[in-house]
Amino acid sequence: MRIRGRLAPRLTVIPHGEPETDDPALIAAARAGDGGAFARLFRRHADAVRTRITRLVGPVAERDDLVQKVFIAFYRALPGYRGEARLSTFLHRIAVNAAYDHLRSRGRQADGASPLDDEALVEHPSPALEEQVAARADLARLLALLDELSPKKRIAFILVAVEGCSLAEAAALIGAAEDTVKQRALHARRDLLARLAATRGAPSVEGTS
Amino acid sequence: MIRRPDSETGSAESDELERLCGRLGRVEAPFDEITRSRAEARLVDALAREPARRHWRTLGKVGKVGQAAALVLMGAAAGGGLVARFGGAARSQVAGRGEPSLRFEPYVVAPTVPAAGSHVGSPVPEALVRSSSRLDVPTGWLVRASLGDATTITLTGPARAWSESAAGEKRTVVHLEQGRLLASLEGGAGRRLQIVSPGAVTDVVGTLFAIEVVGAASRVAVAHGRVEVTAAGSPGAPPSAVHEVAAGESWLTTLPELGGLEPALAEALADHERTPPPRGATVPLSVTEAPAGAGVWVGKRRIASAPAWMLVEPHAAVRLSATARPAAPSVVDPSPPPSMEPSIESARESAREPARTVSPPLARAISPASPRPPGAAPTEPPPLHLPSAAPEEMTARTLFREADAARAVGDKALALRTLRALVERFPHDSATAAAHYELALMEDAAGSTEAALRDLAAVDTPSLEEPTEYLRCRVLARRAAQAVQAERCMADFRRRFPASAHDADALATETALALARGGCPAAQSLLAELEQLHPKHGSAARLRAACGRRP
Repeated sequence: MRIRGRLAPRLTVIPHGEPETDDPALIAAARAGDGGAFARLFRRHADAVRTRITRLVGPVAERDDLVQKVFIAFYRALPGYRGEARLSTFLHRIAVNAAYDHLRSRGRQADGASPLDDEALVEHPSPALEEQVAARADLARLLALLDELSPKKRIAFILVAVEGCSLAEAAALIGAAEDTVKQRALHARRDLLARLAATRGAPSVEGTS
Repeated sequence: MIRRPDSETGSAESDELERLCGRLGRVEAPFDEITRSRAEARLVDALAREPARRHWRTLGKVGKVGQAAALVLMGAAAGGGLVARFGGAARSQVAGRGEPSLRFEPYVVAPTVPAAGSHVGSPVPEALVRSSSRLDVPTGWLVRASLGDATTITLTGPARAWSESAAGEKRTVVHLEQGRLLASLEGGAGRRLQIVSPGAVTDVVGTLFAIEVVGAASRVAVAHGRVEVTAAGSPGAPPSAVHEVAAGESWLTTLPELGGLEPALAEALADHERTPPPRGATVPLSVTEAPAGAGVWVGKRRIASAPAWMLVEPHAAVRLSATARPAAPSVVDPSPPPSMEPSIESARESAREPARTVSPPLARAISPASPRPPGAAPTEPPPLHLPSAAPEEMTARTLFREADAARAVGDKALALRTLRALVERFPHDSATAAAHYELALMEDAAGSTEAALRDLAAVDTPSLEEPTEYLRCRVLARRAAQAVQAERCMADFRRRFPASAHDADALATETALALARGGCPAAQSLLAELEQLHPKHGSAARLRAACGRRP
């Protein structure tokens, strides 16, 4: 069941209506060589991973490649995965790393940000039609602002300010100290506010006019 | 937690940032049915190439599909006595041994020059079929094998080679001790291939080339790209002497000058390039009791001569053409003797498991329908179809995946056939709607608008409503006679799906159609909307140019 609503946990989207309760059994089967079990895990968690990646890097064309990287990394980590963390958390951690690598390599490229693919970002619960159009413009604007941040700041900010993680959760996902995450997120916020202030009065950020 | 504003910025920006973050936090980006299937197929493909794939029996079921003779075996019309054996093991099971070094994974094993009758009934040497880090190819045989995910080689016997690289390393080293090796390396970041042969060390970054051992030296010839050859062990040559051999050139390491690429070798290299390993799930197919030289076709490619062993994709269209060399024994006997009844047998497990007889309908399918008239030229046999009953393990999902894999390697005909088989065999499956959609996409690309519209009309899944409707509008837009209908269709589409991924394209198409219908006055408001909402759309500037400056 897809959980909807403003107050619902945002990262508990479970595709295909399957409960996560038998994840450990599927993981054990996958570790023993049952590819069908691994495929089932993929189908179960792929949507959530894609959503997380999208929030972190935006709706870029490489999104699905990143999802694949996450599951390949998970596959490689299977022998050592002992289930200390829930699978969704474990995948989230891998997704954060994949997103960081992607943002960093994108930053090294001369042309900066990857072009967004023209797929819509689906917002839940679905607002009215006019609202959806406005939402799309807002998201494009925010993503353009986020593209100005360094990958580390961007990820810390999104985890804390967008996904609502506690500093401890974000630090565990990133693999950094809580203080470090806090500083990155604060700096990111300050930068974003400064850019918003700089664009005040202008019709909008470039590209979203 | 992040605290609210500091003094340097106002609360307006802070509220705005909160609002924007709220937007992003509510974003969900689930896969749709089609992209999820594609992603899963790509993942399966990638994992099948993982060094640790001993854990990945994924396609156990696909293996069973192969065991159930799910290969679409076509024709053997004029070739009495052709026998195909289908193995039941998936590639991962055949090839994967789980050892750390990178292994050669053969995908085609066939005779080089089929002598008349000499190979009839003889099995393909089992050692050549196995995945191994060492290949010892006897005289008269050819082995095509992949090595890692970017290198394919062809060894023509007598030849001997072994690989040294470890899984996970970017550089692959192949030692060629004897014979001729054709190789191609798909270039990529950090991918390097090194061939060590007598008197030469050849470094490759991405090319198609051949190396032949000539006594204590090596001849390196390049068809595409270039390689760097370091003369090794030759007296007088400084250790760092590097010769670059470019496309169309060859170099024998004992000679000072470069030579040209021999036409016969160029043809062999082209043949190597035309026969890449199958992608994704595979099943082994062994053609053993066929007349020597009978062609084995997979799709449109003749990939080997019988007797042969190869890995093919499940449901691949495999044809056995009785175009044996003139010296081959007669192939016009329409009824195979009992000993040549087709059977299903795992190529590797034949020693352990008794061969199983194929179902009578399949036996009929691969038996020749009528002999070739005397004097008639051998032609590609007509396709014969599998019995209508689908094997138990064949599912709509596996067919969808196979169609996707076929399309990924550019075999559109096979993809179309597989998708059509899917919709015929599984009309009520949840994957059928997606198959209709994919068929419509391919038909639209091929210009078959009628067929595309028929398939789109059959898509009945709500999750595909939006892409289906957009594609229908696009198909209509291709038909000049229905331009008005297409324009209305695009407008309706945008009203129904305002947040669609296709909104920009739909608006651009609607604008272009309006421009064609009524000129700039009719298109002006749409063009203004396009420029406002999607200023970076590729058509915006072009349409504006057609209409002059913005009013």
